[in-house]
Amino acid sequence: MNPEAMAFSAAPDRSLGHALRGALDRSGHGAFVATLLARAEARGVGSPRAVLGRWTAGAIVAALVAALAATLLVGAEPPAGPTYEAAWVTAATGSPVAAELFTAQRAPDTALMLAPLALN
Amino acid sequence: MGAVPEREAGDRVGEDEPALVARALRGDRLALGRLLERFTAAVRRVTYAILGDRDEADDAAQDGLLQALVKLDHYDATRPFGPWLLRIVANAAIDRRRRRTVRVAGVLDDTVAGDRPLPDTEVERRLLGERLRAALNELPERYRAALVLFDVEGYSQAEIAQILRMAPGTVRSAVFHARRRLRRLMADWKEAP
Repeated sequence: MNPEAMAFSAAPDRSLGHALRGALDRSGHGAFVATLLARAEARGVGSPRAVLGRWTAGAIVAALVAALAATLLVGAEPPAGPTYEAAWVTAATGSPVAAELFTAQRAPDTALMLAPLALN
Repeated sequence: MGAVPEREAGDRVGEDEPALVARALRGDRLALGRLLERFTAAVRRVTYAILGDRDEADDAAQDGLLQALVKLDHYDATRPFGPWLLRIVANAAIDRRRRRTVRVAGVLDDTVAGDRPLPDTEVERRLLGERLRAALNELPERYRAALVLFDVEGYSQAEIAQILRMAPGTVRSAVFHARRRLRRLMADWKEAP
């Protein structure tokens, strides 16, 4: 080792580094890595379960974001106009009441159905 | 004065670390193995430099690497992998050193204690290694770590600052003082003609 080279330099000292590397180098890296991989496996690192866990967490976050976005979009949507079916029935019968009867999602109110008869 | 020390061959060639990390996170064990092979030698040198004891160094290296693998998905792939990994490992070694209460007296290094006759150059090399390790053990922990990361592993002052959580100026000072103290400790070392 060159004593002058050991004073500070902004560049690494190659000869000192080489000597220290020789002093600190270890053998048996293969066994070391094998032991580590076994410990990592026991902790579930890289296991299908861990991968699935990360994906599941990501999927849950994505679903929450999508649900929030959908809620915001639907909430902001303007009220729907008359459907095609309602417009067609109104045009064919000349009665918006008929259109309401044909396009209603629930069973019609009997009072509404009997109203024309009561008028007669 | 020398050029930047060469890092491990695997550091320079082949698939880059972020890609290996991404594959390892998808459960690719080959990628995980390659990642470990690439950094194992450096990790073991650094923990050995910090702890000065082979068995403890390997325990710290194992613990640090395992911690890193468990939180591999926290790694920011836009930044270099080596400093991120070595920061975790160096912390594991430093924590272990601080927990240590009684220092067991060093036994004669098994590489020197072997009973097989060795060539003079080999004996010389091993004795130099022994002296250097003993000299390193005389230095404060952060000097040792900074010196090894700079002169052996080839990390920049900024990277070492990140690994050891020091200011870059402190890294520079630590390397300077470590070299100066090593020079004093090794002053009586005479290389074979």
